[in-house]
Amino acid sequence: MRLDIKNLSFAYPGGDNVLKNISLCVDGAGITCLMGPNGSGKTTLLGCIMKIISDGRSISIDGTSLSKLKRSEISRRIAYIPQIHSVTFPYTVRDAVLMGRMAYAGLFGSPEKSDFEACERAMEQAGISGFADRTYSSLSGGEIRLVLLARALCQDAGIILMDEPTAFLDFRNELMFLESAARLAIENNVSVIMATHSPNHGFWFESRNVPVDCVLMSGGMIYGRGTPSEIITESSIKDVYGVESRIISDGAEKSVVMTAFS
Amino acid sequence: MKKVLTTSILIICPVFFIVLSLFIGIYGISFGDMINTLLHPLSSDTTLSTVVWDLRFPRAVAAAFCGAALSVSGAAFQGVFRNPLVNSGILGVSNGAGFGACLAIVFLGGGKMTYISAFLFAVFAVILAYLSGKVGGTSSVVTLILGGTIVSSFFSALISILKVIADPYSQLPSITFWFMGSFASINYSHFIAFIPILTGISLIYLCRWRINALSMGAFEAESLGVDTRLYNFLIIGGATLATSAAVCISGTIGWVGLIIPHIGRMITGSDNRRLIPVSISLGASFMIIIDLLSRNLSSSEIPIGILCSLIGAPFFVYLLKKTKGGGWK
Repeated sequence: MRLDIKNLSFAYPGGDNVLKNISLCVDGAGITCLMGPNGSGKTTLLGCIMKIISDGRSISIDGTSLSKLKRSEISRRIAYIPQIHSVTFPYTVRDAVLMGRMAYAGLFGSPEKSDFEACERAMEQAGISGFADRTYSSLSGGEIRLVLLARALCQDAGIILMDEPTAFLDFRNELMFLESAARLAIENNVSVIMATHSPNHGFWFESRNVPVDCVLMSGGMIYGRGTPSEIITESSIKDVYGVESRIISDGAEKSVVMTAFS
Repeated sequence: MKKVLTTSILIICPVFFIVLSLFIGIYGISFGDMINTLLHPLSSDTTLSTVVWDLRFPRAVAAAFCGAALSVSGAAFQGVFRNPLVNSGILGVSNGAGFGACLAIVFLGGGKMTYISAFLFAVFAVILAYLSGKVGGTSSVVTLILGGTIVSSFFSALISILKVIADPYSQLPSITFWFMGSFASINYSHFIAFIPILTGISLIYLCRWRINALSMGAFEAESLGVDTRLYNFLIIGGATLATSAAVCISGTIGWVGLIIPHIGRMITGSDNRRLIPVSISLGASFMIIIDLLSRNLSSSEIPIGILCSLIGAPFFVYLLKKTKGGGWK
């Protein structure tokens, strides 16, 4: 799927522009790491891409402007994994994953046999079939991310947006989630757009030959776009984040270490 | 198979209690006479027929509809407002209806006008709540609840004014009894209220799966493909129609809209696809039983609101204690 953003500017009601003249094209399967300091507009951009906070006129999918698509039509193309996710009622894992099928139901529709099957398949792929009947309130942070991943999977969308999907996860769960994202891109042919604070995520995908791009945002604009090695440099980190850093490489893996304020 | 069984139980429960309530009452009827009256509703002894078909039957049916309306609206509001502690009166329906009823009792001589005025002001209160909660062109769940609270307290003040100027010997008792809730004066002419009640319940029933997504917050619901403006309108509008009509024929009845959905969650879990039908059936059954108690516990009628609260309050405390252990966050 091809996502085109052309000259997108966005302001919340009564506020200044949060996004300024953003143009970005994401074409085909792969990972796009969306980076930038807090407040640089990452989450806002994700909201605009789904036409939740914007009117979608500057954005098109496969050549069709979002402004012409209905809510459910957009959600059949773009799924979303939220960062902050508070659940008031203790739904079971299966009920939560099944919500991914809502975009396929009619106005007053209920889930049908094909929806239940898609739900089971998605849980299988995310590796959560074992606790399908447990309730939300008994899940750990890592398990909740997997439930949300399964929900996005059964939404059967070509593009999956993730808002800091590994925040609050321990090393092991973080690695598991990165591997799932890589599998999505390679096996499911999904285009993953992932807002992340960790520059090492980009390097991780790059060193495993997963098709990956980095988009570095600063102050509501795109600072640069390219492969992680091109974009995540000592000078760009100094420009965008205002910190000194060193990029360490042992030949196989690369990593960024922050050293001081600049 | 399991689905058919569950559906049958949900339908049979309220029907069973309606039939049961035909048999029980202050006016003693022998079992044989009762069967005879049921089988020949038009031809048998007129007194028996009147007691069963003109008094007990319409009461039980009205109680069922009101109970179902209040509890399913409560369940729907709890879902879309993402708050397990709100009830069907959250948007000002109860106080709006109360004000409408008082207004009719004080200035229009009560009677039929009480119901019409109560219904209109109940709907008006929700519209006011919506408009007060609307900030910058949109209304979030929080501002909507704030709007409802403000409108509620506003109408509650107006009710107090009407109580002050009401005639203390004729009008004030009517007002007081209206607020305690009763099905004592129900007859077939009240059945017209079933139209908005059924419309409202049907809307909520049809949208019940969407309530799951709405309870995740507007942003996530939209990302799942749910048009939040449309479904909020359908669900809140349906709940408003149903509660307004229910409250205007029964008077304000608390608790049902808060507690029944929670009992429902204990039975069936949180999924609104199951919770909504269960709430309808439970609410109907609960209200028939309460009405049965209200007309049989003592020689004079005990107002419904009193019984609901007497049974509801301890249960609610129990619920709070229990859920602290592991239910919700």
